[in-house]
Amino acid sequence: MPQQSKSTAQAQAETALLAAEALLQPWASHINKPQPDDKTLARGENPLVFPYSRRRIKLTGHGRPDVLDISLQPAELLEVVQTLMDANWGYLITITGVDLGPEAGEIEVLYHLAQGAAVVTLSVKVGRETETAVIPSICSIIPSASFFERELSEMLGITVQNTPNSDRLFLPDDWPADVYPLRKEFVAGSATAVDAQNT
Amino acid sequence: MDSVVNVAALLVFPGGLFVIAAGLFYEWIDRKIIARLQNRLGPRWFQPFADTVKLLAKEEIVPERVNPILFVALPLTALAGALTAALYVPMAGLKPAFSFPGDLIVTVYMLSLLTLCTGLAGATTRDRFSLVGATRTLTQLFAYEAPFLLALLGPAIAAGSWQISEITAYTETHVWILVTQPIGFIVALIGLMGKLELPPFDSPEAETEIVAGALTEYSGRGLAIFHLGKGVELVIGLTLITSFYLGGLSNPLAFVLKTVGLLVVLAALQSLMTRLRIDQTVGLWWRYGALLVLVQWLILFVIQIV
Amino acid sequence: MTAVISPKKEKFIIPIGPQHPALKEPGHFEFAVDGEIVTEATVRLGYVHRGIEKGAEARNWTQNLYLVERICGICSHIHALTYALGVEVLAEVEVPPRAQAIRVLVAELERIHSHLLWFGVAAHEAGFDTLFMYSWRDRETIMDILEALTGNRVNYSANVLGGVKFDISDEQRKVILDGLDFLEKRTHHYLDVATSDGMFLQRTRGIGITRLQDAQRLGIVGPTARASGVMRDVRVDAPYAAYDMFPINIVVETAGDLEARFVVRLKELFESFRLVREILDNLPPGDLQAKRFPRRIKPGEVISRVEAPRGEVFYYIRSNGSDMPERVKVRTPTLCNMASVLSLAVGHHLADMPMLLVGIDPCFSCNDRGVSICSSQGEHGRWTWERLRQFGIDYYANKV
Repeated sequence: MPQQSKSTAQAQAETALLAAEALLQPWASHINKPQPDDKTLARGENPLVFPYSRRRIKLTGHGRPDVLDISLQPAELLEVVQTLMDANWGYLITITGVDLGPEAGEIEVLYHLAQGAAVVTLSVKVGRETETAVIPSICSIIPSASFFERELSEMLGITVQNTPNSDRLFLPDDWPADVYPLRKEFVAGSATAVDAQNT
Repeated sequence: MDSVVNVAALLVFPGGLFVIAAGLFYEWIDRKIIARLQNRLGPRWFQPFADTVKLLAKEEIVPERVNPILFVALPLTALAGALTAALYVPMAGLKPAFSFPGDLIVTVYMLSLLTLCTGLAGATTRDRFSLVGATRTLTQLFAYEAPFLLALLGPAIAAGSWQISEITAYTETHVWILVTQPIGFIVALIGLMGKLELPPFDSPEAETEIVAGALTEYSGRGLAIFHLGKGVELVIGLTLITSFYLGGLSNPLAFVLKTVGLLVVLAALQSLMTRLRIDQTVGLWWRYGALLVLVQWLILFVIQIV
Repeated sequence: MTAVISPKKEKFIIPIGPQHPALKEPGHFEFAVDGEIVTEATVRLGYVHRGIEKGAEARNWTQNLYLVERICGICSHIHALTYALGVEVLAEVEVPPRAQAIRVLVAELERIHSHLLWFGVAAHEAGFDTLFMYSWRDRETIMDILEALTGNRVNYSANVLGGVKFDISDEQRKVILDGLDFLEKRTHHYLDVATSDGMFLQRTRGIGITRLQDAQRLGIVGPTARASGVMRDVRVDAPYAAYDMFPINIVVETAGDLEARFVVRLKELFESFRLVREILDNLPPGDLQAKRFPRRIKPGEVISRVEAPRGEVFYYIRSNGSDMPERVKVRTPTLCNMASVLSLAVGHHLADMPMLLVGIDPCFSCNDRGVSICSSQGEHGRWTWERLRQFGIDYYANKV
């Protein structure tokens, strides 16, 4: 019984990932498929490693991972999300923004979608400047993304185009504009409140 | 001599101090029983008294943009109304201090004065919670008032008089009206709960929605006086229902036993039920309460004619 | 029955929170009402921001375990568990099965405590204080069990990276089993009350119905989603820790109203009782902790998902090879469910608002967790009426 439930969940995840991969065929070149890691295989372990960043990913069972990673251009994002949603593949867990730092000059935005144990992560990189830190809103496809997009824009200073509501969600009203707490250069406690009446 | 007695009736017994003290004491019984039913310890016997003293000693904050005269006068009017009502009921099992034909109606409406003042107090303070609370208080007033009055008139018809002292004299010498008019008793009892805004009819002061309802902005003396008025109303309501439905109040002992007994029933009912929404309260009263009491009347008339 | 406070046809707005008797935690809701009917609803969050996501970037892996445990008081173990599971995958550390089983045991005990707490709060919001008092009295049983196990009532601190801190002795086993027997009896009673008490049902049956497709569209998670018929439970979908050894049965209702949410949570309690007993009877032998845990963790990223009492908790952890994480992203279930309250509120009675709000079992501490601490100076910002009104209008005008 215990083994059965594990294998069912894993089998479902594998089916779901195969389905996702089939759906994402048009963008197949962007998919970061994991490769077996020779070094650890030799030690009898079996983690898979992404070739492009040597990311290690979690395995639910043996052989196949439970995640699929795909790097996209901001312009392609809506189409991919639409494809997945049209096929009724999974649901949006959240949107994560990761500041890669001033040297890299990029912010990575990750859209995590899940179906069962399978997680598809859409990775979109945008710039750090006001003009380049722009990403399209997916709220027209997934309305529940609104909160996530609000959080993303207030924490990292990314402009989300066409989002239904760009007001602050968590930060106080007297939080200074142009200070984004999750940027690497921000030091906790350094911001001072501004009079919200004047902003 | 007469005037001394009258002043004493107004200030000490049954009108003033006595009924206020009784109100605080009954409030304690109510709170204690509910606490015990809810597996809590409950307050000590002097807690309502201590609360009142504390509130009276506190600063009374008059909110901005409020008519200060109205703000101060409303609680006083409410308490005065309740205390006046005490003069016409057989308080402590003794004869009412004053009596005239039709005083039943006057008493019931003196009690409504408290609710009315609460509603107006909420409406004048311009606080959002108060306004919603006031609307609900007044809505509820229109819901229970008619069935409650009709339920009290049942015994009056049986006694053939609208004078409280005569009805009491009738009930003391006859079989308990609870037995002959059970529906009327239930409506009157639940009507009293509605009048006092006790659970499940406490949506006018539902704390999880509108904080303290109409009295949200009241503090200090005003709140204490409204509070005292509630206590007085509780005592008078219990006295009226016991003297009408539970075989009258021939002596102080019977008064204590019967009213406290009724209070225990009230407390048990309160702790058993979920708060009703205001629309559900109104629906309950007009769909069932009013109808039931009319059925009771019909039965009464049929019996009297036969 | 209309209440207009000015002739300018301004909306009559009932604010709930951040300080309000209905909310035990700070959040701010604005309900525009027409009489008793809610016509608009907006939310403002962030009152319990503590800068945890930012703070995590400046602390090492071990310190962060204790930091994330303090995200929430009710589901503290869940946060530490999610974090630990993720970091252990990143560090390629195998956790002994006994430790995983004890983690699940504490997680399920915490679920019992959380659901009972919720049940009491929900009863209180409905104005049924007797039920509130009784359910919280019974909840003390589980609090005592947790205290006997871990030494704490709130932040149990059961996890370490690579295992757990304590074993379960025979006396503790007996205390747990006795407590569960008592609670199981009480839960049967509560389920009976929640499904048969006429006055209570007036406030729950048919109120706040979320249909299956709406639940999916709004991305609702946890018991709230399962009450609408969404078959989604991370414990079943992606068994973590010891849930593959001790599988759980998913509890689903289809009505989608408040009553269904009561039923789902109460029935989940029975599942938890069963699972805890099963774990106690079949506790795998072995160590409590992995032999060693590296101080630095190789670059990589991991997604860790766990079913908290309120729904799916999601952690995204990225390592840059140092002893501190590059990024820790936390997504708590309340944020997903909050949108459902706002969309449900419109058309319901004001009196149903506290119930609807509590129906999702909101946890504002989890929700806000926060990103940065602001050293406030000067006057705090206040929204003018006009701005608030505009906010509400825009929000709903742009909403599909």
